[in-house]
Amino acid sequence: MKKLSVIILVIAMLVTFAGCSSSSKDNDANAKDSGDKSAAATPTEIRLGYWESPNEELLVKQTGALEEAFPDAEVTWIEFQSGPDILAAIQGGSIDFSTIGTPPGTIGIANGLPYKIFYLHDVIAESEGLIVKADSGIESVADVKGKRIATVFASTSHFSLSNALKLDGLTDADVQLYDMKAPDIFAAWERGDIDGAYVWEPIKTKLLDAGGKQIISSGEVAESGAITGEFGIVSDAFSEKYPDAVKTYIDILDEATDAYKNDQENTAKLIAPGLGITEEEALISMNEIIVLSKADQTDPTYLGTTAEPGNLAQLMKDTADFLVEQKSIKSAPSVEEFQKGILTQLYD
Amino acid sequence: MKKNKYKIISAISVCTVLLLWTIGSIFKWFNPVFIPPVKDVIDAFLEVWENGYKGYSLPFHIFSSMKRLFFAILLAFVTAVPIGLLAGISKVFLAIIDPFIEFYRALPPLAYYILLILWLGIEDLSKIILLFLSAFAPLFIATVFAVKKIPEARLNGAKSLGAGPIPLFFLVIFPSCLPDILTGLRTSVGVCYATLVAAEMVAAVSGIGWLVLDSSKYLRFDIVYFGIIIIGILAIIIDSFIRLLIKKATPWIGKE
Repeated sequence: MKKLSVIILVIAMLVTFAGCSSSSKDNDANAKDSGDKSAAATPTEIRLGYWESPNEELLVKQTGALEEAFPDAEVTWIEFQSGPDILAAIQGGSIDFSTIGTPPGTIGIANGLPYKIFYLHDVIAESEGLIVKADSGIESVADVKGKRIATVFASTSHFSLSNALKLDGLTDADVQLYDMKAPDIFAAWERGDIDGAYVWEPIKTKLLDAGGKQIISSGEVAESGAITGEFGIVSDAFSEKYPDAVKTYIDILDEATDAYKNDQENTAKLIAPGLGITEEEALISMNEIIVLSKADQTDPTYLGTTAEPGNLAQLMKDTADFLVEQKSIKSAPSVEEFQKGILTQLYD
Repeated sequence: MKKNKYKIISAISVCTVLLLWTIGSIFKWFNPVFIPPVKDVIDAFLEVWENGYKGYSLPFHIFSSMKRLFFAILLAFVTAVPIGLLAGISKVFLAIIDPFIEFYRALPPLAYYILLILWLGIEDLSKIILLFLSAFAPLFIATVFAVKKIPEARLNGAKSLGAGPIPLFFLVIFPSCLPDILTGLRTSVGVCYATLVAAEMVAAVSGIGWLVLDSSKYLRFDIVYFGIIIIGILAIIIDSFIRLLIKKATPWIGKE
């Protein structure tokens, strides 16, 4: 008797569980239906993931331009420390928009996560690089063989580091790699636990100030084709329901890009507190990335248009192929699949 | 006979879940990224078993974690038990150290982990100390209470039979406390094991917890699943080992 009741209980639990997963699918479908009918609907809530990157989106956050454009919506900015955390949040339906580095952004699309790329905020140039201790004996990328190097795994920096190593005929396995969050890298450096780090601003500047020297920057690595940057992504649920709101956000980002490029002093003043650095440092950081305007998005180098897709899908394919080579992901979808993950139609 | 009956129920329950997982993945009830098919998980396991994960073999990953766990528990045992016994005997000593233990044991390990890294570096030492701290408090508290639980009559009886302080400690107090200490050890191994994944979050390149964390960054949930299954099975093995130890070390329990 008892045996039976236990079994029934287990089965009941599992059926409920399976029921939950299928009912959430129904909800998605409902969202799709209502999305088609009311394209002009305005969101009541906008949740954005961001991180301490000196890009134009941070300027939008600091000026409050998004809050101004959507006075009826509750706008929340949620800070993240790494791309994989953002992927988890967007899958869980906790955020609508986010900035994300190109490698994690690609990993998510390759795994069919429910989001699309609607923008390329910036291309990383000097803002990330391999910084080593002056006394580490490292003079070139080839010298890092066997050295202790820290980076944030699965990030743009890790991707650029692996590509830099590849250019010198090395792989990750030739280096003692340590996976750390950016702030921890500084602590490990101070203690002398590492010989160097491939990391982004503002930690990069801190390492340089602490006597580090730069061996290679992501801009230099990008010359070989391994470009890294920051995607703007939007959840499927949001973009299907509020396509106009996404377009409005693109215009806000475009205005911010304009201010970012033409009024650098003021921009630095606004974003410096958001980064916890001085205005001078912010100015330097700003010139280490290449921010892109709305017009740049449809350029064949980047997103392109629906009729003529740009190079971005190919870049994502290359990124995914590289990650397969590194045995980090199982397989890379086709260029066409990646193209489907890019919302060029917003610019038509 | 009765015992067997419950074992069979447990076995059926486990099989039902596995069966539903299999059927569910065949009929595509779940998003394959988040609940991967059983076959993918087995394939991932075989692949990692053959080629290792990011430079190290699977047994090495398990060994690195177990090594950290073992040293942490050993360190906790040789410190928490004597200090706990002393604190149980001397109220003054307890009053001196209790506030610190009460304070730190409430802290989430991740809150102070960065400090440990700052003090002790990114190598295994900071990880072992983090695990040690999580294991220390439950074992210490169990030991203190074990001493306090000893019947006054037993101590007085031994004293009136002429036992001095040293024989009293080794022949009466310690054996009386042993069952509770070992139960405390079992708890502290559990807590310590639960901290293992957190300990391998920073600057690790090996360990079963790290394997799960790293593969999740690349959304390799097939690896995450089998990693978690291994973590779970290891926990059961460790726990049954400790239960065996308790049985061997305190055979009089339940027969008094």
